[in-house]
Amino acid sequence: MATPSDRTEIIAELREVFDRVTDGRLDVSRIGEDAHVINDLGLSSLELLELRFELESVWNVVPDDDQVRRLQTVRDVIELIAARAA
Amino acid sequence: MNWDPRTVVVTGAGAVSPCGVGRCALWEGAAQGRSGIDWIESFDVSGWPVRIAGEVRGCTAEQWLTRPVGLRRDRSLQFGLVAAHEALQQAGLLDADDRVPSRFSVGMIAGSGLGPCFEAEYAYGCFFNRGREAVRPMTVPKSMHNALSSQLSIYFGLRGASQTVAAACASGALAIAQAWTLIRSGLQEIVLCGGADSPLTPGMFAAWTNMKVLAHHEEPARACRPFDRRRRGLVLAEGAGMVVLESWESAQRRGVPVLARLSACGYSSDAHDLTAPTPEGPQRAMKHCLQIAGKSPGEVDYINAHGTATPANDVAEATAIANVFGHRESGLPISSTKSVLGHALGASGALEFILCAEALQHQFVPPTRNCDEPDPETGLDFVPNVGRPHSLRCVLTNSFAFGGSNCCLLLERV
Repeated sequence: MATPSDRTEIIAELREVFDRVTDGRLDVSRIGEDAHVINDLGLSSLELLELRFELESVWNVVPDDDQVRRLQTVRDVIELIAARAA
Repeated sequence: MNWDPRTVVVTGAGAVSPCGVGRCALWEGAAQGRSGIDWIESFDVSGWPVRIAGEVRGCTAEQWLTRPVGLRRDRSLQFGLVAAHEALQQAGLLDADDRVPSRFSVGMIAGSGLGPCFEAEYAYGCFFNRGREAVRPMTVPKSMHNALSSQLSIYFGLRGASQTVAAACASGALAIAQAWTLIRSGLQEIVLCGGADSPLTPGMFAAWTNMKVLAHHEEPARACRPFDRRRRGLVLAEGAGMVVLESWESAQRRGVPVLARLSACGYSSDAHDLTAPTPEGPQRAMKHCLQIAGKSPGEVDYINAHGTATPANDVAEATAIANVFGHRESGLPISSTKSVLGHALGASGALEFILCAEALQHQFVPPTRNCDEPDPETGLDFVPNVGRPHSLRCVLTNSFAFGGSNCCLLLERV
């Protein structure tokens, strides 16, 4: 189980990831854990591919297609990273 | 005004240049002969033989647009968005959200010589340094040559014909010419057109440096010397110029002010050499333009030259101008505004088009800075160093490109 400080670190890093993935389009300081990655953050299919790219390069997390399909909210992404990092 | 309904008029203009953000900054800099050429700051050129350029300082789309767009890495795209915003706003085509209302189908013809070279250079850097897996998924749509026209079309909601025109230094002028053709033929009523370019990324700048066509000077403002005996080459620059062209019928219907009339375009290809200019190709383009406009050479009051300040271009262009326009007792002012802006490649033709529209409005001819000793000795008037008031009804702007594409645009006062 990820400690609260691990989680804080993951969230901070994830904000920078969303900034890179959307090339500055999103105001990442305002992204909440409940935000839906597609419906709220407006990530396109290519930006979702970029998110997978970042998950691998930053945290060495390589979800399969099934796990990616289940990623709905920002919280889901944090939990995925925390579980692999633990 | 009893014009043919498909007369092409200019209803908006926007610019980002080394003279600053906005068409007013562009005009004031050029008219005053105030150089935008300075030491390069956006990347490290220590120890390089050329360390100067016409660099745009402090302009991001974020500062000027209403909605967030990001796309930070592509410098020329940032400038294109800002210039387009100014042009569309002047033409009264933007709602509060920076979108063109859906009842208009506005075309988007953008010119770029180098395209999204910042994105391409970044992607190749990832590939060669870290292998296949390091190439980002968005690389293709970000580095494709039509990124400029696509992103502008997407952001502003431009739903008419859309393409990027690639013709090196004539890209911007040819984009404007293409828009003119679309409106004259009735295929489009309103078209946003122009050009954007930036060569200021390390690999691209290295490539230009090694061609040995760039001038360097320890006082950067003195480096670009079009038509001067001591000229040593061109000075690269970046920027964007965008204009809204529309049919006279559409402008009247919308009740918007008209800045100038684009009366004709002229084309030619040198069919000669990838880089070496000739007088013959430019001559044919200027004659073609006059023929399409139904004008004699004596009716042109000012020429904004291509005037890159390379030894080769300037002598070829001066010879071509002398052959077409001859010599008049009353004189024909010819100036190169690249003397203060530098050569912004695909953006140049569009920036110079805007300067011609401004010249018509202000009845003032901008100078050729640093033209202290005119060469060749053709007896032509290059408006050395100081601009002057002049009665202007009809002006011509020249763009002659690597690869031999030539385009001339003829504007008239309204």
